[in-house]
Amino acid sequence: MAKHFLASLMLGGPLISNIFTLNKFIFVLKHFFDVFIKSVIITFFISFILFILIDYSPGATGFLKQPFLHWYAKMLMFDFDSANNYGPPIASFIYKDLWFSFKYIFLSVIFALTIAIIFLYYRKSVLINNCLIQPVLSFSFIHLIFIYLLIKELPYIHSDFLLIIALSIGSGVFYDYYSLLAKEHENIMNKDYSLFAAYSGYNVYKFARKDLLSNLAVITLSRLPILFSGMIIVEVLTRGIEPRYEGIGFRIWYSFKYNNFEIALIATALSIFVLTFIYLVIEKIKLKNR
Amino acid sequence: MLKFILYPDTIFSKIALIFSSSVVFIILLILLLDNPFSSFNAKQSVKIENKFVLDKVEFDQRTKLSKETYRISESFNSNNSFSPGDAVKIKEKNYNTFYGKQQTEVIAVMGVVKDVVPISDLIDFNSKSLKPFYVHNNGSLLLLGTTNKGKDLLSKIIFSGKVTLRLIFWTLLSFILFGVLFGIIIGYYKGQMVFISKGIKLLMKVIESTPLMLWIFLSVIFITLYFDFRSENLYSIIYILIGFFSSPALGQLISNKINMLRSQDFIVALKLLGISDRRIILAHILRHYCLSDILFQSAYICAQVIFLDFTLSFLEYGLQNTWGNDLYNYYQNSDILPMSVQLLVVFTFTAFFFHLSKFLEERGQT
Repeated sequence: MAKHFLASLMLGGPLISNIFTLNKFIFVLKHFFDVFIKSVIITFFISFILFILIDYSPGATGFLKQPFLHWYAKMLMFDFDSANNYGPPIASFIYKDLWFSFKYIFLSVIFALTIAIIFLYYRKSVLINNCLIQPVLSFSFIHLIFIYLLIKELPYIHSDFLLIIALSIGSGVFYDYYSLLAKEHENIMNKDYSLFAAYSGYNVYKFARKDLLSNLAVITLSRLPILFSGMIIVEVLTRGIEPRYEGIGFRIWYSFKYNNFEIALIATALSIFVLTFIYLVIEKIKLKNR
Repeated sequence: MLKFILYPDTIFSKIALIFSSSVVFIILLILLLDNPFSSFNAKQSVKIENKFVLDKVEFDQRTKLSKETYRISESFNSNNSFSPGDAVKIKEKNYNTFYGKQQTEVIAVMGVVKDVVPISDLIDFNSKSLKPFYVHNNGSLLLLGTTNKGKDLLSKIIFSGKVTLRLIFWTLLSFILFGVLFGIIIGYYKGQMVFISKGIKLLMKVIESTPLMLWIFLSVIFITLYFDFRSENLYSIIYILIGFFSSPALGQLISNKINMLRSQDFIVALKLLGISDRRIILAHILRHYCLSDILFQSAYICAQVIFLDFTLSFLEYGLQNTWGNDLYNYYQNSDILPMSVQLLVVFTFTAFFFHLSKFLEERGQT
């Protein structure tokens, strides 16, 4: 049974092929625009508050050199100015920074998902549960910084992989992820239709596939903002030391520290837009599942 | 208590919880008693007189003077430039051998005064790291020893613990205040205060859409942009903001509970009896139905604050004299024993609060 669950999680099954019928495509498009518009509105509010806070800070008056609304409209069209008017175009590095951070975040979530599925598969074994799963879950309570400092100089393992391990396990991330997955799996398996399928000799995972996949998507997507927080911590922590990770979190910190307020505001607003978009997608899936 | 200790499923978790609970209990007890073993406070350096050893003197490369100062003994025959009790620095190693008497001497420096002093007349009174269970001349028992800078470690843990607990208090206060307020408005008063309720829902959505760490990061950056000093009062603002940014989760839980209860018979009956909304909310809904949620979220926030204090300290944005900041300082100075003890304290507290939160959550569900 668990093997089928694993396979349905990995391959998706016919559900994915059905989704691209015209009706569903329009449905998805409608929800996409809904989420997009809401993200734009929320980002507007937060950027405006940040703009006021920066503008009133000592030595930053009129840092944008244009009205906020004008700046925001330009940002929506991805038209960023040059750094300090004469530097390189902000767009030339801001997307790279954003992708740099999210690359590690996505890899970490994939790593955490892989380990969580393996643990879920073997959790019924008392020996493995007591000797491997529980110690790893307890280890997950240790702060990300401490885990990273502890493992960052391990020989023979690439530093990026060590970062991914630290991100996906530290600060209780893995504990939460595994617990939520296990709890949801348990809940779905105890639902009436799952019990009916089991008693009738059908494949339970086939019956519960939609529920399992949507819950997996919600739980996994909800890890992204948490991992983003972890990535900010690592980026600021590794400033000036090798291996350094200079993504969007580092850009925000660096720009604020050296009074490049325009870059700081753009980097923050972009990050908030992406994270708000993810948050609203999760809300949408949750609402649809209800 | 016993239920709490024994609630985890596995032996490993049970042992971890029993250990962390014991450490938390002991630390809280000592926090109340204010280090009963030692008369040294967190700011005093524990100094003991050691024999002066020339080979252990560290010299500054630029000035050629010793990094630390040494005291001239009371038995010193003061027929040169120094008197007994003077604090001097040593200028390089300089060996002089007198006829018939082997004596090693060094050049001592005090301001512009320089002279030769026999090594036997120098006393090393600098702060040194002392081992645990060291008994000082004044009768103080240094239970955990001292740090590299000679501070009594237990006194330091207590002092920093009080600051950390104060930060936890501010966070909890703002978390509960805003969480309950948000929950009541969007749950109980959503029909009466439509505009405010919608505004709060939007505010909660705005807060929740961005990770807590980014909010805190931005708060700290703005605080340092506006003020160039770091005081506990200033940091209280950051921790109050942490409580505020975490409060939507509690607000949502309380509003869900209120939504579930508002159409129940007993609420309708209470309203028909003419009991005020304030009393229905405080004495009935919050007290009997939401307390477990408030407690479990609060325990989680306590663990979160310790984590955040640690994070901010490692990012060099932390407040001085907190557990996180002490840990960072020990790490920077490679002070192994204090670092290990501090780590143990931080992680046992965090694990305790996480377990407490989980226990309260499970109990609330049943």
